[in-house]
Amino acid sequence: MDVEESTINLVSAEGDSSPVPLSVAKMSELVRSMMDEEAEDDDVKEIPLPNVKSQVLHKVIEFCEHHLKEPMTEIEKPLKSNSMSDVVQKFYADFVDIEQVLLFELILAANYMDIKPLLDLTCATVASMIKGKTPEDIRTTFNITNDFSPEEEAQVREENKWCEEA
Amino acid sequence: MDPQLHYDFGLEISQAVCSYAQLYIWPLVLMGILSVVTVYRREMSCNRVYYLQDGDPNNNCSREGDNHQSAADNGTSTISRRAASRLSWLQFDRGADPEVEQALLAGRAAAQAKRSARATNSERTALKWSRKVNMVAGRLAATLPQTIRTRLAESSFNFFPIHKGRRRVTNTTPLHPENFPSDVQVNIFSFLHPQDVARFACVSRASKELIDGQGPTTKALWKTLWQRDYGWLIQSWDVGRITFQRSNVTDPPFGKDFYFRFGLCHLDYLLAGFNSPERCLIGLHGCIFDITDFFTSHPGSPDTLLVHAGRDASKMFDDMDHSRSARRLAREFCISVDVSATGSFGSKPTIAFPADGPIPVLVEASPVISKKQRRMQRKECLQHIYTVFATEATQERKKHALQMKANPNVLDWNVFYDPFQGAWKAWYTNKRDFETVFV
Repeated sequence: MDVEESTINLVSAEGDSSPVPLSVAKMSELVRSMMDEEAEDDDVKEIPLPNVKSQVLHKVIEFCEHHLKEPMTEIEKPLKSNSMSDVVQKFYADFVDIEQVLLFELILAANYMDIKPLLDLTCATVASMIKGKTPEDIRTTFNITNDFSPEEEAQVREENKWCEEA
Repeated sequence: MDPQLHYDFGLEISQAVCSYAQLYIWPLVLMGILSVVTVYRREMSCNRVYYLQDGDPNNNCSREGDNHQSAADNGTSTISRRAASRLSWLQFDRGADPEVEQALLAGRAAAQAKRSARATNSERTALKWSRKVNMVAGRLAATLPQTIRTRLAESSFNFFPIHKGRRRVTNTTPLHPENFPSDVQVNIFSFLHPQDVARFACVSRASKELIDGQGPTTKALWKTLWQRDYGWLIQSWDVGRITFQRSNVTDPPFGKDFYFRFGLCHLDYLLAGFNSPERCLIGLHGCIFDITDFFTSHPGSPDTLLVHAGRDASKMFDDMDHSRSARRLAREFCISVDVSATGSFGSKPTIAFPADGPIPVLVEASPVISKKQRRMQRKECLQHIYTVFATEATQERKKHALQMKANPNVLDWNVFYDPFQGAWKAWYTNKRDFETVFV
């Protein structure tokens, strides 16, 4: 098959280009639609991704390559566990066990490149950081400052209290 | 210690007991017989009809009874049945992932072996006893030991097998999920339980605006959650489509209030008017049952069912104190399951719908409505919204009670909330032609 041999260059924000097999690159709807537009061209093509840093792009490619070998199980909504390893296969759980900054950049890249499974995985990871946490925990996790006045906070808490009565 | 004295004392007691027993033997025996008869009759009163109609298509209970009997003959323990029902809950929980399923099965088998080792003795006695009674008393009596066995099994049946994860220690790094593009935010929250989403509003002003505000992201967010948890009721189910058409709304007011109110009112709203012999639906404990083919064989007269159908009849159902076998029988007609007991939220269908995207097939997941459930049931809603909703409901009922009493054509009337129009409505059955009239 021709498709297996041909590769395509994805160019990151820094200008580094990484050759990627077509099948892998086409997991991104962005790349796929760009390819369709200029389908006539031959040989090696380049696709610029000015919004994606090299480090993030490597992560994205790593994900796509693995996804072709071992597709990720669909993540069930709502999440049943706080731990991603209960939700997806080990590779994917380890894949998102990263620093928050990188995780958030991955989300933006997945959103930009339109890679549904990667977006789901990263969003679910953020969701698992929120699930079952108190507002204080969430503030600490994401480093959010509490800008409520004490009265406001009391009110918003009262409004969002869950029914506990029997 | 004087052994003689000790002996005399014991003898004296036994003599006293004997004379006492001789005096009161007949009242005691009579009382025993009477109490057995009472328990037996209570069970029978709910089942008799199905046992007499052999070959009837509605004869589910008797068929189920036979199944249980053969299961007992094979020596299958009640524990394995319990495990099976729990397994079906878990499968329902995790979807049909074969790996998870395998792991679950393995774990369960180990636990089961351990438990059944402990239980085999009492199990065997119960089995022997049940066979003996069957031979003597025939098929009617077979229900008695069966009920007792079921009761044994259900006494430790855990209706809430999944426990939600507790808080864990967290790390600190910059960046806010609040700063993401709106579709990413919606995607993140689509993975969360509504309780977590509501709680997120307490984090900061920006998060409050996102969850409670009026913006398009807020609307998209709650719309996504609603579609995830309840959407199929309106989008795939014919009853939902009919009801939605009656509301005649093109742009539903999606939001936090809408989402939680829909959860509170959807039984009364969706089933309103479906109490005719052509289509008879009833809501029990958040689940919906289609009893069109069943209500004629209801032991407590078909009319009773028709009067209480077309709405959430949990209270009536519990007040009638239905037996366990009646509750098991109800399971067969379940078409929508309230999944909040599994740590999830909303309702899921027990049948597969062909159109409109992937809806899981959950035929095995219909629950038996447990007698304990009434006590354990908690309103799955925000306290604030629930209180307001309950007050409104009481007021509307009072208001309509006066109007309906004045109307001579009203046979039975109901009040419900239309979440799409955001207004309270009422409907009644016309006394003359039994037509449903919406007010």
